[in-house]
Amino acid sequence: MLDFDPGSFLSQSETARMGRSSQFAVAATSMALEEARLEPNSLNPYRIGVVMGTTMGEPQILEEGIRGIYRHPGPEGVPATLPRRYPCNVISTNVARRLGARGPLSMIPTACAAGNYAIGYASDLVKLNRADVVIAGGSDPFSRIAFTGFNRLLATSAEACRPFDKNRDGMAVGEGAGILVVEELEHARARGASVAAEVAGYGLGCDAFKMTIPDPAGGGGIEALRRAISTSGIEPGSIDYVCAHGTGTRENDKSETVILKNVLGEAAYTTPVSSLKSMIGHTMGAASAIEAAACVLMMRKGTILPTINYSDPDPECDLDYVPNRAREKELNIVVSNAYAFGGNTSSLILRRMRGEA
Amino acid sequence: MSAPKLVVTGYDAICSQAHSAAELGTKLGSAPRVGRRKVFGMHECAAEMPAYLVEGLEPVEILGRKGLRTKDWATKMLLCCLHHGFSEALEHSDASLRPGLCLGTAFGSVASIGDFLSDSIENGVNSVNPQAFANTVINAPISNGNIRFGVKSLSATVSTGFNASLDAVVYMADFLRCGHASRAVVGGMDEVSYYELIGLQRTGLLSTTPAARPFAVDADGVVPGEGCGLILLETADAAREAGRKPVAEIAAWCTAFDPGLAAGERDAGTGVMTYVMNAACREAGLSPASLDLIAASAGGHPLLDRLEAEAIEEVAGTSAPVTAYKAKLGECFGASSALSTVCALLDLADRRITGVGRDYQSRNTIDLVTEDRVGVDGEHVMINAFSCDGNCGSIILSLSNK
Repeated sequence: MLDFDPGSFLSQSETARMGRSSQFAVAATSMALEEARLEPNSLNPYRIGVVMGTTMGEPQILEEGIRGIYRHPGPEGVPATLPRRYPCNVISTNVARRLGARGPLSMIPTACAAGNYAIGYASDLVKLNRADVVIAGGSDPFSRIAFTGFNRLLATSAEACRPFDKNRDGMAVGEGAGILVVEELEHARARGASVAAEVAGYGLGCDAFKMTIPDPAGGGGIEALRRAISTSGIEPGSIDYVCAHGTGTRENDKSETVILKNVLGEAAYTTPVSSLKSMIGHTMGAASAIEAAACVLMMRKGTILPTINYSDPDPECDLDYVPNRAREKELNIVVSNAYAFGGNTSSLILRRMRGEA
Repeated sequence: MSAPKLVVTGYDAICSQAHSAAELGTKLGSAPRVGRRKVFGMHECAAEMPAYLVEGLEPVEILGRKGLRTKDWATKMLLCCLHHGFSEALEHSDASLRPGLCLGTAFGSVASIGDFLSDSIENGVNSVNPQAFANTVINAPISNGNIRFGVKSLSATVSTGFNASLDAVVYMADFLRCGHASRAVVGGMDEVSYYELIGLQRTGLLSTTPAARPFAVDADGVVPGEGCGLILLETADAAREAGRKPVAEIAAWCTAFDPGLAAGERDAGTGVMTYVMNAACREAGLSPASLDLIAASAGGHPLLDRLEAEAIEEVAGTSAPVTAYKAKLGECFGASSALSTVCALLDLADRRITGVGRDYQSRNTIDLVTEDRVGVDGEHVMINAFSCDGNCGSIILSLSNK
């Protein structure tokens, strides 16, 4: 995000004590609260929770520290203010500090599925009456580690990310943050909020296959999607749209297609599926949180965002990927998939709240 | 939503004192084993650093050679603990009955991340081993556990600083309460690495003394340690179906965030600490005075130890015995509260409380156990985790044989 200006959201001292990932998260939180018309100071601080996800946390902080060590061997090479800004939980801590939140706080760094994990846990905290409002999402910055690592794994595209296309050759690394305000329904209604969507349910699973390659049979993804459907109490055929993990790697897109066919059956061929990563890159731990926010907007506008850069159909990826052009459609139930290194799999189901948005 | 009863049906640990819970049970009261090390991976400290290191553990002997070549020390330590303590449950012939896996960690794979970056800086990005990249994601250790044991039901990582393993247990307890699963192996793991030591040194968190001194009146910092503590957490129904006998029930828990602590305010109060302790007691239906043991979070941090002592005094007075297992194991970061949980279960099962020792002058406004107490008839134990990044949590365990 070349045009990100932390000064629009944070004071100078806040900017100075936060890494880029925290800056993204706090900025996105500010915008989410504005959208929700929620003033945290009006709430009991012990009833406001924060649950965040990430892949890398604040990797540039570590990189800066290590460069310092190479410039000046030993601890003196590392600026004293740096280490406190590194551990990944500083992202949720910084969000909580900004809000004055004192309720349950967590950081779930389950790599590129982290956003879905965070939103799922946020909905659990509300259901268990441990919080009235939970700020949930994910954040990740562009980093040397991720860019180097994915390049060395030959997982990045040479030109453009083209998910599900026959000639796809990898992902495009991105950065960003996505935040949702997850709130108990009656609490939201009581303050006259415009309810955007219901977190209908979610499911988690694990491929238990390889650290960097998804299970070709889709084991963990199938489990996650089945559980999400079960906890939501919906029928597979009622899903109006699937926001795919769709990284643009050969293995992921093929495996995700297998997952959708396995769980949705014949309905897989008529359910629109698209990958937002074709447009905004793979934002790692932020991806599924950004995609969840996008799903809410798509439901509100009745528009499905497309998979761009799509030109040649792949016989092994033979679903409706909404190629290149947005499509108008009434959306009531949407699924957002997110998978990760280590085989962590997740599916989130959002339901439109009729008459409330 | 009906709340299923949650029970602990197994536990294990690897730490400086022992390589299994059974061994820890016999060695917990022994003198702490503080090691010294100068070289950590690609880097070397200026002098030998005191740390509660896990020494003598040979992962290849425990796990075999297969699949270990590219794994880092953190992952190997975790795999050894999973293998030793939970093989029977994890290798169940019906894969759907295997427990999910959830790990708390403060620094996760920081040694692998740091070495990966160091390698790319020293030798150029094209020289780094792509397989080493897989170790850099924070969820790598537990995901390797999923792969090794074929656990497909759940893989999760929680990273909330020094509170991580308590928060992982809370996350899993909430997960089970919501009906997403019926059992999970959950706990914490952290290793001592060059990058942590540098970070702790620069932030002034390292003690100038070579041994951990929880609640010392002149506490000046922590002495790092490493290890892994895990419990098998199940719904009571799932435990019964599996034929496993409960060791303890997780009776209650509460977590909250203290912005003052996170900001490093010297005048941060005890409000959030007392809030979580009182809330946990209330949920468990216990008066704080009826706690048989408080396993404190204290590890030598001057502010945190003082505040925790004041908070305990405020909540329980001197009616509940208090100990701090970090006196024996050091500050094991994200593994600390899981290790404290294992130690407390071992202590109460053996009708004793391991003391923090009498080598230093400790705070006397609480009933701090210094010399080991024997003949203790305890049932309810509170595990505290309070960290300088503002996370505060308390869990109450009630022994099942009472």
